Amino acid sequence: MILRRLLLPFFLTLPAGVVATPGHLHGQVTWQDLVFTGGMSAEWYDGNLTAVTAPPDPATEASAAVGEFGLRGRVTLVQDEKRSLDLRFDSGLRQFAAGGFVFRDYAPRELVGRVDLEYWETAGSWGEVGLFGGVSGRNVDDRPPMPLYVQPGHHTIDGRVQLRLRPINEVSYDAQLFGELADYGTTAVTPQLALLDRMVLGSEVGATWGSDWTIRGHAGFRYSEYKNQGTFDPEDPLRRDKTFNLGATWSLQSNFLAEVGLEGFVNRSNSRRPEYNALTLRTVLSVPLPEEFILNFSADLTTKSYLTETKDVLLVPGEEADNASVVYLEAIRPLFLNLDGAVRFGWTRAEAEAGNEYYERFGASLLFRYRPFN
Amino acid sequence: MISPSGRLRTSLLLTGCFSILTAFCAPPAFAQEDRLVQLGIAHDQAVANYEAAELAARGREVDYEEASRIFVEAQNAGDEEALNQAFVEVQRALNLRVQADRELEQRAEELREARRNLLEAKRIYTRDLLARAELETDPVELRAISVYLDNNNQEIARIRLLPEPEITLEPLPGLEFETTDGPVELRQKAGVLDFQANRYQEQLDYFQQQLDDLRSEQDLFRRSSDFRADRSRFGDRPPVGAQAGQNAPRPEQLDQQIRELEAFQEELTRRIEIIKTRAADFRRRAGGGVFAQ
Repeated sequence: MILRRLLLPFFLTLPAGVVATPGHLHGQVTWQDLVFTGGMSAEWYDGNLTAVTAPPDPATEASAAVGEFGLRGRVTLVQDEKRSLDLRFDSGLRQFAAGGFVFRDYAPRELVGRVDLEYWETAGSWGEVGLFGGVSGRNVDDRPPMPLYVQPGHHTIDGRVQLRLRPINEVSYDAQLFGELADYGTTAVTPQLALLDRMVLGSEVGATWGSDWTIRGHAGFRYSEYKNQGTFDPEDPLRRDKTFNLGATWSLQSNFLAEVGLEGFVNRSNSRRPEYNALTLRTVLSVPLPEEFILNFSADLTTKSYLTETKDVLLVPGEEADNASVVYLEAIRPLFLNLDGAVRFGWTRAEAEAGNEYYERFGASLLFRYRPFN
Repeated sequence: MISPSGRLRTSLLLTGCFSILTAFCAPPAFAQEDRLVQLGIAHDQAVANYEAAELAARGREVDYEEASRIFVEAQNAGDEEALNQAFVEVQRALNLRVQADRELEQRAEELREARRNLLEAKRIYTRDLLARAELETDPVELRAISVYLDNNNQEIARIRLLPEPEITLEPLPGLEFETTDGPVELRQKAGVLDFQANRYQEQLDYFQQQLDDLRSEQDLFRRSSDFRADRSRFGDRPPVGAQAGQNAPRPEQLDQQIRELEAFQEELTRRIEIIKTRAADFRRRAGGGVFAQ
């Protein structure tokens, strides 16, 4: 609660501060990017997947009209031959007008923000070391029941240390250690959101080949503690997960951008319910088309298998596990100087192993993006 | 100065000596030594090509200055036929000079790339030698590694001290108004200035093409990152796995290249303005008949 009170005013005042600031500040401080996004969407939801963290409603179909606003930017605070310090921020407001529920209509409002500091310094002939620190806040008012899934409000603080070595025999190696604390805000009707509070520590090593196109193979380990989730084992009462991941990503940077990644996860826990194996295929493609159009496509397709079947299906996409498949397609072109217009279509589907439960979302959006400093 | 062919011969000789030493002295056998030799030859070849192009460009510059001098002399002598001939010669010399400068810029880019590759390979070699030294216990081998390390570090320092080739802009023509100039001379001077302005415009168009390509790349990067940011801002996308594409160039590198080219464009535009203003001034003076008597 205290963290939320501290962060929200900051995120709310950030846009005003940014708008009031000219393109270049004093000394080495340089604006690298600033993007305003505004848009509206029509969305449809269906499914019978239940969520322990959302209010109950027997509806299996819902729809919503959505308006959104976003602000994202990057400022370089320090830059010379040996080091650089960047500040990144991203904030947004999204308002839904949702209907189709049995008990009442909902008007959820999301207010999100994230600030990151990124510092890089050369480490002699070895390569470079990066330090990352970030805080994020997310507040949701009038959170609706399923099947309209809106990720619950939470605050996180995270950090990362990364070492990128210079190429050895044309192979670049990297290693990182990271940690995260997440605190989910509860309400009088959803005290169970506290179940999702977590602490994560992890590491990852990677190796990258190639120049125009690259392949990065990586392996990682992640340790997660859920301080409010019990295991029903008096000798080991709190849930602790260990997740191993192994994957590879192929990237091509030509007159178009492409990324294809395959990653496998093995999650083991002292609680039987969340033990699973998962495989995710990720694709991102950006292709220039005639008439200044650019086509963006992304797909995250996940298949997941739990070790133990449970009668109560309580996992929902995004809350604690990457068990959803998400596809986006967007066509974008400049409309005026510094102003782009985009049409975006999205599809999300998550399925539970037990009881044929699923959640599905379709969305069509019209977005405008404005860069005041080109 | 070593001639280009001499430099190449020296490289080949050094390469041969290095190979013989490698065979007899049993130094640490690293795979990148072959690559280092190849990159060294490529760098020396690039230096030779650049120097040859620089020599040719200087020659064209002298030819142009000579043609300009003859033009001014003919102008001062009031010999109309010689002046017309000199005017054609100035244009031809300028044309050749522009071509030579373009060739020089292309060779400069090749040299920059060859130098980057060589320095990177030498840094890797240093690191591997250090790793090897940590594992080695034989004092003879350690001494050999130490010698290789010193030589390699000295070579890196030497390469770093080499002057970087720079983008060159054709200099502004030095045609000035002189009190002896009549209308014919003034119009011919204006013609030479127009010709130079057209050359600058061609250079500007060339930079514009490069700038267009970089901006297209930047647009693609930006719109791709906009798409990703908007997609994940509200948490609709599950945060899965590690970040991909870590070796993709940072967008700020593109920004830097664009800023440099924009600066060149500004300079060229400024020069075109100066030349056109001066040419217009010459024509105004010639047309006004002020100096006709």
